[in-house]
Amino acid sequence: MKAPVTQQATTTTDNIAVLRDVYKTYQMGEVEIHALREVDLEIRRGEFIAILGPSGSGKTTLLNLLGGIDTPSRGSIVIDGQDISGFNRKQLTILRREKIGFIFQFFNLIPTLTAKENVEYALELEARQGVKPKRDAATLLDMVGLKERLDHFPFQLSGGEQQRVAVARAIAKEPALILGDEPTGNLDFRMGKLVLKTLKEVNVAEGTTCIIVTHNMPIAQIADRIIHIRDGEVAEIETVENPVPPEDVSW
Amino acid sequence: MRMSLLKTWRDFKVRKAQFSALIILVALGIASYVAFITSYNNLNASADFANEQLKLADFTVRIIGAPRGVVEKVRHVNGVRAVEGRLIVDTGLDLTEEDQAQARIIGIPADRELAVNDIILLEGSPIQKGDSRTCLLQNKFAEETGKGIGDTLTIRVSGEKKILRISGIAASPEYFFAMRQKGEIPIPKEFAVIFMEQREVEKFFGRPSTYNDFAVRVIDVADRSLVIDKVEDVLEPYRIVETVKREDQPSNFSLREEIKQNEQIANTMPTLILFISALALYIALSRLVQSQRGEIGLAKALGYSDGQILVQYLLFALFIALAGSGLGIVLGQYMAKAITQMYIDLLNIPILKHQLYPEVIIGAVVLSTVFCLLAGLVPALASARLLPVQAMRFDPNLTLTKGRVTLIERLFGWILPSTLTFRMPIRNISRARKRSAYTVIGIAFSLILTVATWSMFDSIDYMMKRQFDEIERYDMVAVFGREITNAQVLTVDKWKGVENVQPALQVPVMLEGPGTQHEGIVTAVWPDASFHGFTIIEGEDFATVFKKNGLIIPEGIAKKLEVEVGDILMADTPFIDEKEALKVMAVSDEQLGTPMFTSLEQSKKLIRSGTIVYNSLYLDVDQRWEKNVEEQLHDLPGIIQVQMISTFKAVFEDYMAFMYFFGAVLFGFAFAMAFIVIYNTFTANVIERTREIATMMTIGEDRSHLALMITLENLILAMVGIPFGIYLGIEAMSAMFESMTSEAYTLKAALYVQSYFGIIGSIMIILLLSEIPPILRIFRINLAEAIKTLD
Repeated sequence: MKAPVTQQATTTTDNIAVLRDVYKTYQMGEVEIHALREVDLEIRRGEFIAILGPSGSGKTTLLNLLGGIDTPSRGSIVIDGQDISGFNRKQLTILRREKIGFIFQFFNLIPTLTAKENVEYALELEARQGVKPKRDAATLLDMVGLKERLDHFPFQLSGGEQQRVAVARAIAKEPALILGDEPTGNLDFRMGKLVLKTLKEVNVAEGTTCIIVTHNMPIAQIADRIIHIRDGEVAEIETVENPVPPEDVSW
Repeated sequence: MRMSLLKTWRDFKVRKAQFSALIILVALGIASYVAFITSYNNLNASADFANEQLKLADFTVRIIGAPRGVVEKVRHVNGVRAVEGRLIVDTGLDLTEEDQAQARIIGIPADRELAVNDIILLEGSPIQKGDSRTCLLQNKFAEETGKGIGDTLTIRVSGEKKILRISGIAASPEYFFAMRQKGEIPIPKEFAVIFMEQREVEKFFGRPSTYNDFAVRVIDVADRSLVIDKVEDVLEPYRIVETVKREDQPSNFSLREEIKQNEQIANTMPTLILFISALALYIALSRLVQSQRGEIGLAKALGYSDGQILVQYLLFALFIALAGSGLGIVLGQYMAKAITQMYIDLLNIPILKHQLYPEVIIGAVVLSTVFCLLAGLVPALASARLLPVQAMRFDPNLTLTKGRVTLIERLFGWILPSTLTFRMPIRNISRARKRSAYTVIGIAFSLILTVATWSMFDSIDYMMKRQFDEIERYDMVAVFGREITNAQVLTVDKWKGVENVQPALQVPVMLEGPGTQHEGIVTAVWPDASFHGFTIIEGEDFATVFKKNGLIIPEGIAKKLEVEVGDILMADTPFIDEKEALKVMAVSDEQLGTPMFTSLEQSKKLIRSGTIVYNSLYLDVDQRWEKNVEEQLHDLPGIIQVQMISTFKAVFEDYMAFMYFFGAVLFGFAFAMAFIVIYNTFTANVIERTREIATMMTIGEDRSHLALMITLENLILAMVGIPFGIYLGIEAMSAMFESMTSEAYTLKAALYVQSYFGIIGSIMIILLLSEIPPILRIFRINLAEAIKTLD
């Protein structure tokens, strides 16, 4: 089933993210690269979204804009009720600190910190905003099945374990939005499934909105909706009637 | 090769700021080399040229007096190329009603050029034959006192005042440094060298047809010692006072000492600066190899040979060497000209020779290339040796050893702040030990020059304080050309303002050690004399030495003569026919000159006298009465010189001004180098962690905390690097001072406690300033790109 590509510009509290007429253009020497064009999107709280598209289609750019890592060339982006398109660096930093949890393809853990400390670091950042963390790192790592690996450094963990630490780090501050850029892209099949399962559990148990970027259709099938991107445009938004449980995914 | 060049060039462009900094660093090293060596060559050439053009004597013989005709006898001595007989008289000069100076009147012919010890007329006109009222004045005295053409000079001749008009300002190779004796610190304002027509000098001083000084040049192939012996034979009947060889001629000796010191600096400083440059280059290239492991691995996997990879990284070094030497040579030439000009002015050499020395230029390019290639060789070899698989793998150097937290945390974790903002910098240091070691070494080496220069300032200050507060414990010294009686000493003691008078006898001696000789002044004093503060290194205390009629010599002279306490030296003086034995009973630590001391009792033997006589007075004077006492001393019969310690101190401070100028130049180098070395190291530290920093920023770390973490990490490394650098700097300075120590002064490296704070403070400022570019780099990181980059 297909939803209309362009939706009404409504910003309700049910929407965690709303994008209106968003463009992103890069200047490469004398050439202008249109990474995203005319993107209009609404993402509801608690949804599990997959952004699907071939390499270079603009899916990571879209994720970066949602996460406040990059700013749009045109258009507006509202995250959790705040229009972030005009945010300065400091405001974007605070947005990322408070509302966004990131999971990267290459895990991006801090190599000098143990698994527990990597999670604690996110909590420490949150605490700087005057918010007392509700959870502790050990509990979070227990949630992702790494109770026994608290004091291990990243290089002592497998890829899957590292990515699960990254998931624990992302959810530590109870973000409004978890963004995963190819979270299984650097993992083998078994580990990949484990990470997807963890993400799905967080999504279901905590009600946290998750958006993952993938170029893998079977993985996208675990989402509630799939946003198809082609040549920088939202080509299609597909609602998945029966999302596939992560353990049943195969690719 | 084309591909290697292309890649080198592109890598250069990517890290242009860092490589430009390295080029500047090498350029600074080369500039210092070119500047110091060229200015040394210029100085040497100028001095040689001036001495040659102005025909500086190979030796002079001072006698009591001989008829003019004797000059012909000397001229006919085998080996003599030219001779000039002169009448030289020391007398008083009234600068103003209150100010007196000493004047040396030298008789010269008015109708011909001097064949030996010629003078160069810098301005005005030469003296006219038969004109008893005109004279030429030595340029330095004219400059210091503001005397010029047409001005008059009042000299004292047998108690009468005679007025002379200055017709010209001249320079003489005998008086580039206007000084009476070797080792003396020249006080230009207090010693005027005046040239008058020979016959007029004879008339003035009532010594018709007399010469008392013979300046001789020998032919090139002649044995100078033999010529001296023969000339002395001719002049023996006229009572020889002393024979002075060219190398011992006071002005020439001082000039050569200065040039020698310049040579020492020219040899040591550029080497040190180049060494620091090479080290920084080594660190930078090592870091480059480290950061390009993946590329190296890929290139090898694609079939590039070890040799090609080696060449690739050596090309960086070569490029930096060539660019650095080009820039350094141009900069060095400009600096050389400025330094030479300063030297020439300071040393009063009238002829400046500034030129390009091809050997220095070639040397600069070769040195730069060799230093840079050596610096680049180790990292280049390391890159060539990497196996493709090893190169493309995660660098184990970037993990914490054995997966354990740092030792510091294990030991002191309980007192360290628990925040990760604090712990991450500590772990960063520990995880990349090589990188941390490079940073520490970078900081330490950048400090060497700063510490060495700071120490130079402190050492000079320490030397001055010690000399004028501890060693020279009198306010003024009066030296007489004839003996002074006890009655005169008592009279002076009763003058208003005079607090204490200590008489002494200064005797010119030639001391003979087992291997060599030393010519100087021995001061004979009473055992309770206190005007000189002794620091005895070895032997008896000074009072015992004087009671036992022994000799105290400075450490430098003991080394020169190769003698120890208990050894006997043979002393020759103008007053005795047979040499007198003097026992070395103590060796003292002196700073300025080479003062030697014995008892007045012993001095009787040195001057062949049955009674104790004096020729000098050391006075303590109430400051308010100094001027009066000085005037009264000038009025005493036979007075040659009155020297105020305050004037001496001021002159010495002026004399040291060049050292300060030199220090300022070195400081400039030191700070620039410290900035570049630290900047390069810190920038590399940040580049290597770009993804990690970007990740931290992505998950919400703010810029101020990142800057704080980087600063903290750098400060911890600085805490290790700074003491190491201070130690190396002091060692470098001590070695340089040791090589610069001469007969004129002994230099010892000193560094005051407050200087440590100054050094640490300035290096901290440099450190914080050098952090700014890498921190700004962090602020400009493209997060979207950086988080996906593989380390």
